[in-house]
Amino acid sequence: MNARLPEDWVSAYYDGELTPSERVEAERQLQASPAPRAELESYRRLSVMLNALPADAAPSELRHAVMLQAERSSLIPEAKTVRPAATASGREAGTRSARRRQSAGVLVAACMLVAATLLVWNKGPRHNGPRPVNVPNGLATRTETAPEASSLATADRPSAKNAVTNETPAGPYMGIVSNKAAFSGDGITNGAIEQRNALVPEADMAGGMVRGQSLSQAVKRQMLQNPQILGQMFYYFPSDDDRVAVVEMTVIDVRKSAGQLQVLLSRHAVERTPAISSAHDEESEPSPTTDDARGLDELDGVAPSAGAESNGSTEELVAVFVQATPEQLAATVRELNLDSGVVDFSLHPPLQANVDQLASGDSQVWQQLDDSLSRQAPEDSALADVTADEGDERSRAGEAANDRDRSETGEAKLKASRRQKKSRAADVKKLAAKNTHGRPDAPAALPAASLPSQEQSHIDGETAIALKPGETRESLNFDTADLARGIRARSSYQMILPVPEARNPGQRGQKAGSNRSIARSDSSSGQQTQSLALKMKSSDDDAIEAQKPFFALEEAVVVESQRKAATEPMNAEGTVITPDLGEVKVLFIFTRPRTAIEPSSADESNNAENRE
Amino acid sequence: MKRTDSEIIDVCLQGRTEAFGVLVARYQDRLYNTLVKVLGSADAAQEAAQTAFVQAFHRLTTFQGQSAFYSWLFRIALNVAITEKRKQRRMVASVENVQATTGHEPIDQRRDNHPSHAMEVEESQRLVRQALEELPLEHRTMLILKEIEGLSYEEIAQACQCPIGTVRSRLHRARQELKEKLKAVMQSL
Repeated sequence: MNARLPEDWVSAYYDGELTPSERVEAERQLQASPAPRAELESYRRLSVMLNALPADAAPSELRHAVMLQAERSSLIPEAKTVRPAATASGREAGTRSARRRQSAGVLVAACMLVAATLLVWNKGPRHNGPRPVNVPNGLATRTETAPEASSLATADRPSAKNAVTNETPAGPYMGIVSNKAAFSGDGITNGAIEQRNALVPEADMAGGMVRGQSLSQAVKRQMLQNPQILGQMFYYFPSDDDRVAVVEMTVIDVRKSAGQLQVLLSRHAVERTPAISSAHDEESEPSPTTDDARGLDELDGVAPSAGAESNGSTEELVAVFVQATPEQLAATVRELNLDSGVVDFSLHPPLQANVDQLASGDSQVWQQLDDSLSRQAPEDSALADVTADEGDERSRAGEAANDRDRSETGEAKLKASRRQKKSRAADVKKLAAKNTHGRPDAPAALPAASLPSQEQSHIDGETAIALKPGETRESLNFDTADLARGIRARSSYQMILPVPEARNPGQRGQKAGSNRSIARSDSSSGQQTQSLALKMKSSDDDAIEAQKPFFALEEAVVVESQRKAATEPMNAEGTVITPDLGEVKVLFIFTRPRTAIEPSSADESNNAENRE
Repeated sequence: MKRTDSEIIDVCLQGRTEAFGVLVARYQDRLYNTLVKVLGSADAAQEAAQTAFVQAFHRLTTFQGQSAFYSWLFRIALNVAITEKRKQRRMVASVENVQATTGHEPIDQRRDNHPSHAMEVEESQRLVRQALEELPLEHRTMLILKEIEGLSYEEIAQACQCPIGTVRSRLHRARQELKEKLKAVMQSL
């Protein structure tokens, strides 16, 4: 009898998945034969055993990790493996092939990007034949300064605009090359292509290369994902300088991160200084997921501000001044990135400030800070003052210059960028106002500095800096996401730096501006080397003069390249030892991400189609 | 008032991305628990769950609401898990590993405090986990979705993207295999 019953009927009967007619037949068979009844009983026992397994609760950090990664990846375009607009095609089955094609495209683009990145990182040995053992591995990236690039929160300060100069910054081992690279909205000019092709094999350039992918962002992502690398930038800050480096950290929760920074600094034996918050509660709106509002409430010298926490709409700056050794800073930032995650970062030009006053949160110094930041970001102030400033002459001139090359998408991005700048400038003012103890007569806005216009600052041609013996220059020209969006970029830079390779005990404690000297002298004994890629931004000549030899680093990356020296073995830990420098002064400014999910107009239309 | 999944998704799509955290909180335990049993590793389950949530976050605009959010999420998680599984070929995971990483002590369902009974239950659970791990991934997945998640054949078919007939036959084979592996344990029940 049982033989007439198909095998899986008993299982389906047990699951209640038979049709009524099948069920009738199955029950008849069950009554007639003991074998299927035994099988049914065995399934019941299996269920008991399986459901007796203990339930595994998700780790407590899972939610935080998900949100952090989601925010990060939405802020860093390359991290998005699939764009919603492209996948939002509605019918599940009908879009499968389209998804495959898209996935293939993404995969190809990703592979190209990775290949190109690896190529650059390892380009020296392959292209130059046998590399001299003691050559420092200065890796330079060519980066273009997009006039109003707003891909990330890092480009907010107009000092990142196209004030281009061919002036060589000081420092015997640092050179800068400024290249003309006038990009059109649709791509790059022949000059840039030639330059790029000279550096990247044709095979890697096929298919438009990585248009829409930004190497700069990819490198930045590498840095953010590798806390060890992120912290390395502090070794390049001068320690004998009275200026204060300004590092902007974009984090999910500014107060929490600033609090963590202070805790971590204490852990690394760095003296605490008061943190200053510019919190304000405009546009506050209840959040469905109001996260815990820990953070600065526990910090020295900071009063908690209502509505400042965990609100996506709230713009808040929190600043923490730190004076510590690069090692302390590197370790702190590494742990900070591990703990709370740094979504993005950028370096602003250094500030002239009285350290003692700064460390104590003195109101005058904070006013000076506001002053300095405003000078560096003249448009911030201007834009913050009058919302209608978009119509002023300067803006119009700049827009007119760019309109030719700007797509509609580019314009939308630029407008969004301006809105962000307004908000940022307002924050800076509030920061200063808060720290002048609410002094009503504190200047609301500072006059904009006279940055040259884009046209004035544009330099045609190239200025090549001769490399000193032992230096190398590796560079890459890339089409970036900004270019793909049709935003015009005008200039590019290459920075050549020797790289610190191994600590030389004989030079411990040597002060910089000799840090680069250390790096250079150490390079002769290098076993394992690093490459440093720096994206530089310049403002006008005066600013550059004032910034010597600090200059303004917008982003930095240290890329490990494991290269053995012929004479000496690699160190056992396989880690790179960096030069021992004196204390550097850094002002950390924490800001929230500017954007999260940004559905494009295409996204929105697709979304509308696909939502039921 | 508790918001529905659909309402939360709408809030997310309006730019309040932090609202996605509600969905994560709502489903993380369920998803993680299932993934631990499917993958046989707490670490792999956490990674797969995290990746699945992040992918779901980026694909929210493609969620049509035809199926429950969790089914959709699980489908993503399953794809992640299968991809990872293929990558690893063979996951090194033992019952001890799972217990060590999850930190779970066996639960005595009958609340019998007798030490020997607790040891028996523990041993029984160890054997069940081991037998589950020895099943082919597709069989194990469907069995867990049916027995632990309580999904219908149709929902399993959606999650695994296969016909209902396949679900039925695989479930049958999975039960037969598991029954064979746990013959001794089942006799003691």
